[in-house]
Amino acid sequence: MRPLDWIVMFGWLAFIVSYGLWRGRGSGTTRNYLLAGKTMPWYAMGLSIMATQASAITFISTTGQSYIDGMRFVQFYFGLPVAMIILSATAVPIFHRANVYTAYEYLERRFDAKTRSLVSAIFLIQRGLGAGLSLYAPAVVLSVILGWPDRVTTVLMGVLVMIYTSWGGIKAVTWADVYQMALILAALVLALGMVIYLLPHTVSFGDALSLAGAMGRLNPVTTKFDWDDRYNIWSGLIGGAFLALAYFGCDQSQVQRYLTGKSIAQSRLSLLFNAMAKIPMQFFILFIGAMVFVFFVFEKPPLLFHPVEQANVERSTAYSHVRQSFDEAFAHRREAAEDYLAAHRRGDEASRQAAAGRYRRAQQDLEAAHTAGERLVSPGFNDTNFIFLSFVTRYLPAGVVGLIVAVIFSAAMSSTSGEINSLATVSVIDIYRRHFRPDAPDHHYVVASRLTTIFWGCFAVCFANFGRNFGALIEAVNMVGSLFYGGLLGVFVLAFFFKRVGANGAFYGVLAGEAAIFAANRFTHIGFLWYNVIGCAVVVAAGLAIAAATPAKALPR
Amino acid sequence: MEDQPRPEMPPPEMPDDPPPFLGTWPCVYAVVACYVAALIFLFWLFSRAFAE
Repeated sequence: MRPLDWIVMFGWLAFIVSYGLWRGRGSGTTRNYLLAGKTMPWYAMGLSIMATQASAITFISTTGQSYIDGMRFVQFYFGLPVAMIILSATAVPIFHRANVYTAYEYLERRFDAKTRSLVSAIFLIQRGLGAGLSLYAPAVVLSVILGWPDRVTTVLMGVLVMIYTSWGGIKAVTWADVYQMALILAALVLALGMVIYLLPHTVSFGDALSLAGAMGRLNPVTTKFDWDDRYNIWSGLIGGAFLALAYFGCDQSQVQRYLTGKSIAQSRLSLLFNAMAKIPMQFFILFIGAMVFVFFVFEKPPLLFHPVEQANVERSTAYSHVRQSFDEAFAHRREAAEDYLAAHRRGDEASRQAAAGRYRRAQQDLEAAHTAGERLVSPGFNDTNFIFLSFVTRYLPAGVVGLIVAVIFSAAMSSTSGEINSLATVSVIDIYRRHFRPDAPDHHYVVASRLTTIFWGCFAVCFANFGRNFGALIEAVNMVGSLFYGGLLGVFVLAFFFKRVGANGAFYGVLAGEAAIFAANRFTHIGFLWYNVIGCAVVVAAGLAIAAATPAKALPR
Repeated sequence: MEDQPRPEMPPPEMPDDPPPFLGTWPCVYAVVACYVAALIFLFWLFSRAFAE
């Protein structure tokens, strides 16, 4: 990091915290603090929804995932627009008309207090863990760039977020998200422009596409169905739709965004904006990863992208042998890539096919050497999350590095602020006010919300220190969500669509659904996106079975 | 054990405004769905164009 990078990074952080504090003024009532007085326009909610979902993990891990596995991860989002349409037609008007602070408050009106408390507890557990993982990502960034310990950077991030979130509530969170998302989108365009610009002058954009495609990196749609395969069009459309339904329909960190809308129409527009913008954005991020892959076909990458571990393994006795294999594989791959492009330009199909075969074999050798390098660190070590950052810090000019780092900070802060704000809302509204202090004055709940925001911020910081035990962080976060979302979604499906199912059906249905998900996770190899489908189906089936087995009283008039 | 559904909540007064374009919400949903289907089709073409 050069002086200009520091200025850009700290300048941006200071601006966001100040802007959040300024925008959050006047949040002195519960309705203003937790629902922004229901005054938000659709574009602010839409960008805030996208910013909350696009955590720093999105930039750090998704680009690395594309580098390693291609662009097929984008299929994970194919079901999202379907979910947005369903939620716009169902959940948005229901929640708005119920005039609730949280989605779980609605469950008590529809079922009973124990169902509300159970679902609130599930949310607090899974979102609390998710908030910790979201904070850990920028700690990875700074550990690479500054050489600071993860813990220091995690605390720094957590404190900045807690300042404006605890002061201004959701209004501060939402308006800060708008600017953070704008910076993220601008930086994405800049990052892609830079990586294409840095390709060798003899390699055109079309050549880069050919090289990435030949190595299977340009594969946004894979149609082969496989239960064990996490990302294909079927798991994306069906499993992804269920995950998005659960995330946007039952997760308070998202529901709270569109509850702040001026009207039902504004809230619907915010979700539909997300439906149209999310897939192109993810495609764009993954495409950056694919282009970084092509960049490193011509520019020798380090054996390990984690600079600290790279320095450590250089001292091991086995390093020189692994390094030699790696260097030879890189030279072969580069040579094969140049032959491939030359044959492609000549239109010599036979030579092109032969070069493509050598190109892939060299890639396999390179990956084997890279894996051997990772084993020198530890058996479970994985440096996928460092790939993009390694490119940024080594090859981008002064100022741009600071901007990209600021973007990663922004992404982490926008996600974490939304998460701890929603965690505080559920803690106060669904737990504290419901079970401990139902009749306190309004100001008391505002103070309680501020204190619980700080509590959840501290919790996230503490949990973030366990983040280093996870591999590709984005999958870890989605995995945590998928263990719980199926149960949450199932109970809301019962609430919205099965009027004859009562409180016991909902409560025991959720327990049965969660048991089924944990059993699937423990005893099968089914891809985690399917957990949402399984969990939701079991909750609905169990709820209907219980409702059928128990006589219902006639509804009071 | 009785499993008693709760009575329906009274509908509070919150108007369901029409969308600012395309007339009705189902039309807006249909446009979004067509857009996404077209996007996936383009991605499929992209995958096929660069698959070896």
